[in-house]
Amino acid sequence: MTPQLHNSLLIGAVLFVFGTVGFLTRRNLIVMFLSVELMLQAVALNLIAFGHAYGNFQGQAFTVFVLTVAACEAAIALVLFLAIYQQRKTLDVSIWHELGEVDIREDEPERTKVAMQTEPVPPQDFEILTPAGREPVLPNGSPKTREGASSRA
Amino acid sequence: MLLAEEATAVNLPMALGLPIVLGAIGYLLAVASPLRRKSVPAGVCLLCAAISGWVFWWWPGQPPVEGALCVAFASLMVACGCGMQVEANPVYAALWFALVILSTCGFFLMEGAAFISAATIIVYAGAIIVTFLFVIMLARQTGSSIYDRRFRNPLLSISLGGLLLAVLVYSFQQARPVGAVAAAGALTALEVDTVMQLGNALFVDHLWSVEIAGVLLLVATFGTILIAIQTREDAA
Repeated sequence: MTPQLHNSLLIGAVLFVFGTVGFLTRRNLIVMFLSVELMLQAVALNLIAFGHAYGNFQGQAFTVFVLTVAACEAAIALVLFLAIYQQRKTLDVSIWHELGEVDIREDEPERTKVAMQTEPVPPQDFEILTPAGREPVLPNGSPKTREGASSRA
Repeated sequence: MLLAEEATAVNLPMALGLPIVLGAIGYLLAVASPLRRKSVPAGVCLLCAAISGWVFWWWPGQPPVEGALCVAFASLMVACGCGMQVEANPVYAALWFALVILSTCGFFLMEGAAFISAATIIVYAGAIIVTFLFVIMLARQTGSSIYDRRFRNPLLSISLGGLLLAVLVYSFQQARPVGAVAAAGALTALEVDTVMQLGNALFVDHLWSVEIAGVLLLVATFGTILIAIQTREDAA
């Protein structure tokens, strides 16, 4: 192993670990995407180093394909982020933990099916009370409004 | 075989473990501090990790110019990669990422891959500008929000990353380079026309792969436009 190959492999390993840790720890979708690009770049570095060490151009040719796939991935990923953002107005990845839909299989116990069914709620009509008496005054002096009371409840 | 020349086992675990453990501790401290970039112990730990890593990596008798270039690019890359992962603001993270890409392009140049270096800069410059656009569009109104500042499972992830790095570096170290002797057999790629050779490799040896890559780009473009149109119809 030549010293240059050794250096490139070391650097590629460090870069790959940065990308991995970033992908695991970050919660912003865009930064996670950048971390994946970091890992791709580390792999490209290794490919070029091996191509240089073996004295052919296979590594560089592979790197061109890595670049191509990275460009495709960037386009698709960014448009998906845009779609996600328009639904929930956030880039937090932990919002999307429950991405899978809950479905009922045939072999599941019966109570799950019962629990999944929503009972029809009977229509209730409450009496509307007319306001009576003096309006209560809060300790800070402002009269208690009805909106404030409902929002506090 | 290129990778298995001679196994040297001179107190490797000690020399190897020190920079990685120091780096992991510094990283954890930097992540744990709420305000970032104000944490002195994290900075000291990371600096010590960089210095010990450099001492561990350095061996006498390597070519001075290449060694200096390698150290410069590597330190730029490691510093910017660390900054990118610690940074809370996604806009700055994208800027750090651009610097990391620049330093990898420096490595590509050192490996005699001038065309790939230029292509990477062009492709990633475009990609980073688009990413910037997205960051500014989507994250501007919130600034650095709570999910940018609170990390997910930092202890577990960083120890996992440190373990991965230790295994990788140890396996590379099993085939420690023996000075400049082995370098004689390497390709002196800078003497030949690398772009022409790369063109030969791409359009003669890998012609079908190039075609398929072109089809992949086209399909990705169609898919992107389709998803964008559907999203707009859903939103409307």
